[in-house]
Amino acid sequence: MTPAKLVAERIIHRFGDTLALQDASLEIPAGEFVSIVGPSGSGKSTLFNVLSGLLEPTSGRVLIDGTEVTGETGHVGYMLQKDLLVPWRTVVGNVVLGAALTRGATDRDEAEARELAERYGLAGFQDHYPHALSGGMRQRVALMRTLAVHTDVLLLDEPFGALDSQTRLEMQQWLLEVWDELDRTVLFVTHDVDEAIFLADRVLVMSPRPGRIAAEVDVSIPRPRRLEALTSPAFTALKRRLLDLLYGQGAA
Amino acid sequence: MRLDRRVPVLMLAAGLATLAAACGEDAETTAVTIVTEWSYPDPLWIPFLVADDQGYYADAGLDVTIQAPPDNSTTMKMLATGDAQVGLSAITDVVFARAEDLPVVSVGNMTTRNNWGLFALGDEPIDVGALAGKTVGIYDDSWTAAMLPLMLGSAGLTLDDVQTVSATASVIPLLLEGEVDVATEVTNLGGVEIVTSGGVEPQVLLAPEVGAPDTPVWVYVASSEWAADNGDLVTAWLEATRRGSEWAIDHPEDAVALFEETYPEAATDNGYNLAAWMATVELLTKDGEWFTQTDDQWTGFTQALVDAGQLDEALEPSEYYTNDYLP
Amino acid sequence: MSGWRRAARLATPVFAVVGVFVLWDLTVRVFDVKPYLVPSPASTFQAIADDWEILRPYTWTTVTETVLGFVLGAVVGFVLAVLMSRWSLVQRVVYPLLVGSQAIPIVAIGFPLVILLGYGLRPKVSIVAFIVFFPVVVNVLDGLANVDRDLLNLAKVMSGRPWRVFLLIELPATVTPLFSALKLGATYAVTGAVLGEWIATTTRGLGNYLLVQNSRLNTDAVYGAVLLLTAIGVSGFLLVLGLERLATPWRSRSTARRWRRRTPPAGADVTEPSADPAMSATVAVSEDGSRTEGDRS
Repeated sequence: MTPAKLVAERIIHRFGDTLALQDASLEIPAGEFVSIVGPSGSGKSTLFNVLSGLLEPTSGRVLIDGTEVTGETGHVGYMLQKDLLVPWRTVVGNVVLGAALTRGATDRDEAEARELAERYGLAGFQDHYPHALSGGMRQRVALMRTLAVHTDVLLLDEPFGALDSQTRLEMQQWLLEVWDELDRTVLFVTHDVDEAIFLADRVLVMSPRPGRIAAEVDVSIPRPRRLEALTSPAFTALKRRLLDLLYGQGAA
Repeated sequence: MRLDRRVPVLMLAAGLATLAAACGEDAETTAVTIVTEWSYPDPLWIPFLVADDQGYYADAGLDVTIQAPPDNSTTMKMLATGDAQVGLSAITDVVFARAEDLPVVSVGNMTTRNNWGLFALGDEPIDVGALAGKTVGIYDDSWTAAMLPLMLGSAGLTLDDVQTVSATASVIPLLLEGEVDVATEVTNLGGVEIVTSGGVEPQVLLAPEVGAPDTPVWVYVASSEWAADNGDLVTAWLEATRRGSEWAIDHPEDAVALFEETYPEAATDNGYNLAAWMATVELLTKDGEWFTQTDDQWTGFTQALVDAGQLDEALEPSEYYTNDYLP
Repeated sequence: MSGWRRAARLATPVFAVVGVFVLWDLTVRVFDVKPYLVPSPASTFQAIADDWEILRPYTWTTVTETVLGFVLGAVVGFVLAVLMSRWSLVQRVVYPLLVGSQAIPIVAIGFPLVILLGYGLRPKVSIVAFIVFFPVVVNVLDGLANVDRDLLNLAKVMSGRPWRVFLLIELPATVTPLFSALKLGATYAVTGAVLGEWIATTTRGLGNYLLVQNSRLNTDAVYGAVLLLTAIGVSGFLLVLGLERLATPWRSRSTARRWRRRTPPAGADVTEPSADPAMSATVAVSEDGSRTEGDRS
């Protein structure tokens, strides 16, 4: 049997005296879209930093395609709430940033970036600087940059958190389209329970500090998901369940 | 209460008394500002200090303030604007000021001959002709700018034939360090400094030796407008200043001590100020006479400047000086 | 921006300067200021014209001192800042020395500099460099320190090579603060050149001309020299401003200049849609140039 795409094995991490993550484990098969919800301070960002290789955990392992990559960067794509677009590079320049920072961006990289931008709603803006774009467009560019690095696993840390609710809705639908086309494995952190359910195949609930995966909820709403799904009974039931897990009697 | 009412009355009485006293003083003395020739204190100021300290100015009804100019080219301007009434300056300042029609006038010679020239170290006497290609340390003042070309011209050289190094501080350190071949200076200041700082006697070539006019370097000056209205005060000032010089000639160490006390930044521990004052004393009188100026001294000088292209036209001597206020 | 508005924007500072000259002239006339105190603008310009044969080489000398010193100061300042940001040991040792050095009055270091470096160009260039380099160091160091931590982390996640990260992320972050410092330096540099000339020199510049003319009470020539010195300072500033515009196009434009783009826009001549940043809907452009709005579906 092929190993799961992304595996986190009993990650424990301490910052000085504070225990941030305690026995956080997860297993994500290839192509799955998984949301993570949890109260503030439950260590979601720390988990992502460990998964991306930025942080070497106090103990535990990270494996991708069965190979250990604990503490190694370059194996996952990473996206934050801040778009972190480089102001002096154009849209295309930002999209090819991964290549530019490693082996140097080639003409082919640029052509690919242009096409990516064209396809995903930024046609005509390829040579614009970030300051001339709206918040939603900038996050799109950020996602394209993340995609352009051609990693199979994407870690998205509340990427739409800073956008207004209307834009957020548009971006969620757009993200689903892109994910559908490109078939990557996505881990998506959010505060928004609606967003978590709408996007994911599975929702993981993290406990408050010290963080671990406390519960798991399968989202069996069929794809492709339309806006109507947001108000369907199945959705509401899932939402009630998650809210319960997070804030109610079932809270860990 | 009784006390309350008496206090303001007493205060008023005291105030009126002070006012009366002050007015009384004003009626007897005139406030006068003496502007010096250089922004940094030098022993030429000693007569002023002594005359003030010994009360000679007070005797003459003058309440003096000795004011250094902010830079070495402002002396004439301060007289013209009324920031000063009398002062000391290089003779060239008067010539150039009059060319610009400033209302200033020379009221008496301070020194009596041209003791400015070239100074060098070593055993070889200075030969102007051999200066081609050498470095000459100069100041950016009007005297040097006018007189150096005159000296060089005596051997057929121009400023372009030498490398001038202009310094705003003293040129002597440059000479002693060997950074310049010759320095332009006066015997009673820079010449003395070479001896006191460097411990050597310099080679000296004075300007008159190569044909430059033997004009005094420094003169006492006044605002011509103020002098016209206060002629007797000018005379009184010159007289008091002479008394100060005479006292300083008789008590050189005390005079120098007063100078160094008043201007601690100019005090030295190698006896420079005393030596410079003694060297200045020799220049103050000519055949026992103080101050007296002549037409020739002015025409000779201005004509030499015109010939050397330093001055556009030589005015009538009476435009530059007057002996009317001599004591 | 329309041509008219552009012209108006450029004309305003010009009018301001002309206004200053007019005010100067009026003041001299109305208050009957003596010409040996403050000359009129007319006599100042006349003085420049009269002495132009002498002034031209003098001006050239002062300009050379200023420009060379400026470049030296900028380069040294930049290199020092980069070294200090890279190695904190260097920073801890050198930075306090740099700060202390600036507290020493220039007049005090000027004379020893002349003894060390002679009377020619070198001490002047050094003094100008001394004035220029410190703001450059401070600003570039700040620029490097203020690079977004998260961006650097992102670069790490992308396995960015350290020197590429430095070249593409950190260095460009210094450009804006660098130009701020250079604008200051360009304006103050000429003062350093004049100071150097005053201390001791064989190569005569505007500073020396100023002193000599001052000693002769040629006030209009003095003001003429001052005007020329001001012109040098202002020109330097404007030059740096222009360079800044060229070097930081993202601050004044929405799109990169054509020659900066590596590949031309794909497809047929794409008409740029109205770049209204408030628009969050996608705008698709089809081959025939017509536009359709709405969500991609």
